[in-house]
Amino acid sequence: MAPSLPADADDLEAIRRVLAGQPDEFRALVDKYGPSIFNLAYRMTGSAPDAEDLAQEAFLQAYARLADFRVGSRFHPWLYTIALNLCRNHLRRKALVRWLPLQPQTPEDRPPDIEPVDHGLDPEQALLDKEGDLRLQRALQALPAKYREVFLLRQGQGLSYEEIAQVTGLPLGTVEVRLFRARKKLLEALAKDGSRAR
Amino acid sequence: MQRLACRDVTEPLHKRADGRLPAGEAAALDEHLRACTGCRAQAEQLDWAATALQRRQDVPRGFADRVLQRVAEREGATRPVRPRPLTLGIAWLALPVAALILVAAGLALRGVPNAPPPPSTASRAVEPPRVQVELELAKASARTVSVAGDFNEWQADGSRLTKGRDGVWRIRLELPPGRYQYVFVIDGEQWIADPQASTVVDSGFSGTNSVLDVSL
Repeated sequence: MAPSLPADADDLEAIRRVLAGQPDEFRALVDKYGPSIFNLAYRMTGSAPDAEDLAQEAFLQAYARLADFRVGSRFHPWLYTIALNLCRNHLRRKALVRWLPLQPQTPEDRPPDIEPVDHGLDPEQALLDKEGDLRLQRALQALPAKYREVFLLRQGQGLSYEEIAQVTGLPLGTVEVRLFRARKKLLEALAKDGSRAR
Repeated sequence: MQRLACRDVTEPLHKRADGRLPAGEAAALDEHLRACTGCRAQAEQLDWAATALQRRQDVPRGFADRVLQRVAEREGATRPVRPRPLTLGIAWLALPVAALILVAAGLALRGVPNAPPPPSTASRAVEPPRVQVELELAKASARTVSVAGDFNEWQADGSRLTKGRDGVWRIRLELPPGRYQYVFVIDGEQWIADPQASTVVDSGFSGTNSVLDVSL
């Protein structure tokens, strides 16, 4: 599991400088948390272009609301909350588009675009990674979003149960139940995917 | 050591994947996994998924530059004007205002102070009639309340409600006729359906969305 990101005095210092009128200091936060936020959005949506848009928007919203950030709390769960809400909105919109009866069904009914990023590894390993990534993305997209989000926050981002509860606004017990069900459903999706591939 | 049946393995497998399996339970699970190919495959799948998730996708090149560019654009932009506080005490108010819009546009053209600038001729020609709707939520303990819905691209802080002296939060929206889904966002984090809405639908997440039917 990815290690939980440490509470960092550097974050608070960057925030203080931004609020003091140095907007370029925001880059330190974008550089530090950009990969986490982008990957969360990528795994939530299954689309790299959508993930970039959502990650950009998350940082913009964080910037705009930086004055509301409570000094003493940790920056990254707050940022995750913003990013996750954007992902939820995005998925809701996509779901609504699918419900519209007059929309052409085939393009929207397909799973979201899956576009793994090329890591520049040796070709054989890159191919294996790409195939594995596609299989994982298919399984993740098969999960209901409410299970996918807690699974990604725990397994992909390494957040504690308490942090997940804070980010999602769910009680601790609900987080635990959803994680359990997420793993169960993930196993079912992987088994289904494996039998289809054979 | 107590032998585990397959049906008893699900929870230990979950705890193991979560890094929370007590040492005392690990030995029994390992023994079962050695003997049972089906459960062992499940454990391997969970390990594989965890490893695959840790192989992070690279952030697209230039990502930080693009964010900072948009930040700079935002810094240079005019701050949006907050909506004026509402004083009406009516829970739901739906008024056809198509005619009022035309009157307002006419007044604006005559230079009435504080009136909004008139829309362009082209946009006025295609603008559908709008209906005023007031939403309210009695939640005195909230620090902020917003409404997110189809009408504002589900932006969590797109439309903020104003708290009245009675502790009730209110907002007035002008919407074209149609059916909209929405939720209230409490303190920027908690999403709840409108307790006064007559219709709700499953949001697909952990709760429900309220449905707002707007007609002339």
